[in-house]
Amino acid sequence: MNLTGMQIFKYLPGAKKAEGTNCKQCGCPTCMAYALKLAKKQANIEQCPHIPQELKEKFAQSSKIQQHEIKLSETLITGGENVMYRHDKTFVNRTVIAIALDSDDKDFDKKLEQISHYEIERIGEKFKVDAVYLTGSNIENAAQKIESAGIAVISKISPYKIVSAADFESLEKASMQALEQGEKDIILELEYKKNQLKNIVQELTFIRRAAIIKRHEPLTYPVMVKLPSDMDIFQLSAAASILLCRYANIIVLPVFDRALLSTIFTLRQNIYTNPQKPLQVEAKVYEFNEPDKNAPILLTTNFALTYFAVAGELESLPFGSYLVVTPSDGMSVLTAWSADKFTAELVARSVKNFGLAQKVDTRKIIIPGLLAHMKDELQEAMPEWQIITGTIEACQIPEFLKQG
Amino acid sequence: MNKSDIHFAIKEKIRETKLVNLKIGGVSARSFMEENENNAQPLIAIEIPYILDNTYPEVLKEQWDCLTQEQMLTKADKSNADIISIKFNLTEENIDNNIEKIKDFLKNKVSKLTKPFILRGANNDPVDLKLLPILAEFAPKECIISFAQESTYEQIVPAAAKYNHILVLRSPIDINLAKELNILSIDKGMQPDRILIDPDMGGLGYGLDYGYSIIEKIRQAAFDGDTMLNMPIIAFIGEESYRAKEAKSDTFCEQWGDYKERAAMWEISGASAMISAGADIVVLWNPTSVEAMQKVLKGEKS
Repeated sequence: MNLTGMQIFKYLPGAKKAEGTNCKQCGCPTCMAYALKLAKKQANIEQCPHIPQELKEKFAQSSKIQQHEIKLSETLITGGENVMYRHDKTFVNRTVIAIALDSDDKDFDKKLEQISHYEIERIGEKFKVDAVYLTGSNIENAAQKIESAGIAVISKISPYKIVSAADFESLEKASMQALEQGEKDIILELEYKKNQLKNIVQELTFIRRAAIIKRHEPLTYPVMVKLPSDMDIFQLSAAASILLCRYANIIVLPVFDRALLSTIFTLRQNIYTNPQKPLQVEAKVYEFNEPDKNAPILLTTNFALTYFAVAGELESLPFGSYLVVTPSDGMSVLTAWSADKFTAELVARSVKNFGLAQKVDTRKIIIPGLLAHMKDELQEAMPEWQIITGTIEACQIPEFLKQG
Repeated sequence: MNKSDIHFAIKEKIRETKLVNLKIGGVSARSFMEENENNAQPLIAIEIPYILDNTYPEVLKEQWDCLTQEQMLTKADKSNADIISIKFNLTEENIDNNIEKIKDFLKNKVSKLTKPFILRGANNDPVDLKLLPILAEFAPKECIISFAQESTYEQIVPAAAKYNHILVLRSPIDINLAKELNILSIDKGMQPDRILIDPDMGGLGYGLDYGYSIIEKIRQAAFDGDTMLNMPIIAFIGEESYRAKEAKSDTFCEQWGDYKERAAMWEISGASAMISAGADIVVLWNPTSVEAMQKVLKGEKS
């Protein structure tokens, strides 16, 4: 944790009304102003002659980096995490998903082609294999081919130092040696060996704590784990998922498997979503099962969870339907309503802007049951549509629609 | 640096309960960690429907390679899952005609299971209010009854408590609501040590992140000493996984991979995340997932 202005202030003379209170030698009008500047790193700790040793130490500690960011390519950064749990703030740089390739593999070109052509899209984001973990005797040549395909290469000739060990203590030692030798950019490789996954997670957790909580320099670098090739793909999906949640910055998969990648990328999208910013979907009219002009129309907000709950039900129906999603800053139905992000005018304007009337012949719109109290208001704002109150839960929608 | 400098200190451990011979909960550290005490493995349950109808995903029918629910039950009992869960997927229309059949099923089929079991309602209040008290009364031995929620706990808690079953309490992804429901249920007569928390999480790709963080927060509150939140956590990730079209549909483009593989991985990945966050029991639908999870958790190679 970085020190806040208030935490710094209590060490300054101004807080204790001691000698030197608001002496202005630091160049700030008051001790409080100086404390706030220190917290924002806009002032230097040496500017104040009254700083106690304890604060100097605390300050030095809190100025240390928790986890260094390492550039794997021009566009790919790993590390930089600063919390233990995503709900504390958010995770920063998505876990790098790499695939192991041997430069001497006779099918190298074919395998690289598969990897470089892999791309999926989910909720407006595109995912590709981030990196190749390259081994073998022909690294330079192979690395060029991989990089020209737009994929990062992790290998012994990379511009950062990879230090490898099988546990916390040896990795710390190896990293210290590298630092002593003047290495600045380090990747910590935790070797899987014959360890159980549980042991790997334990070591990863201790390393992440040493970094985040203690800012212990040798362990403040991104950690890579290469999964063993004797796991089947299902075990790989479990192991990779657990490592993604529990503190691997780079996961190297021993095989290229499309189902495995699409699953892991989806989990990564979930875990790296900022928990303080609700996930939203685009506000527009969504169509399910090729609706005709008489298909039912439902309406809700653009909170991703709401959308997915409703979309899942509409998709499962044996007939087509429309879903109008209003721009509500990703808020759920009731939150949006109480925050004035779901007003009659806004709904009417959205429906008009989406050109819904031109798309369909029906003139009925079903609103969420939670907003039953808005029915008259909406009816007034949209006289050309008949407003119908729908269900409170998404799972009741199919039954509701079947009853007509 | 010494690992003891970064030790995870706790004020309270997770409550431990016993289901026949199975230890549930009792952990005193984050998942996979062995600080403080020797920690239990998370448990894997395999779930089958009471009525095997056409709403059950085709891809799963193939995985089970069974034609009837009875065959599934036998196979589940022989699997390496720790617990069997039976979901009584009844409706308001067919519940009344099925009561006697259910009693018969409990007496003649469920009683023969060698594994401990979960008896689970339909997630429909009118159905569950009729069904769960019957399941609690006619269960052939102590089991997990699932679930009561804010709208049903008053009726379901007395039934579960009377027969000394473990009861799952479901609250909608909110730590305060989970705590409130625990307190209310305890007031109604539930033993605190016979409660499992179900935070009602979403599956992979569909809100899993919310459930994931709620589980992490509940676990933290428990370790910080909140004795109204230190119950073991159960996640019905199978049901949530197979709501997702990614887990059951072959209509995705080639880049999404073989759909049968993905059908298992979608559930495995969700279950792995739930266990990482702190779930003590994950309930799965796919036998392939159960096998893979057990191997990874127990450190066996394929």
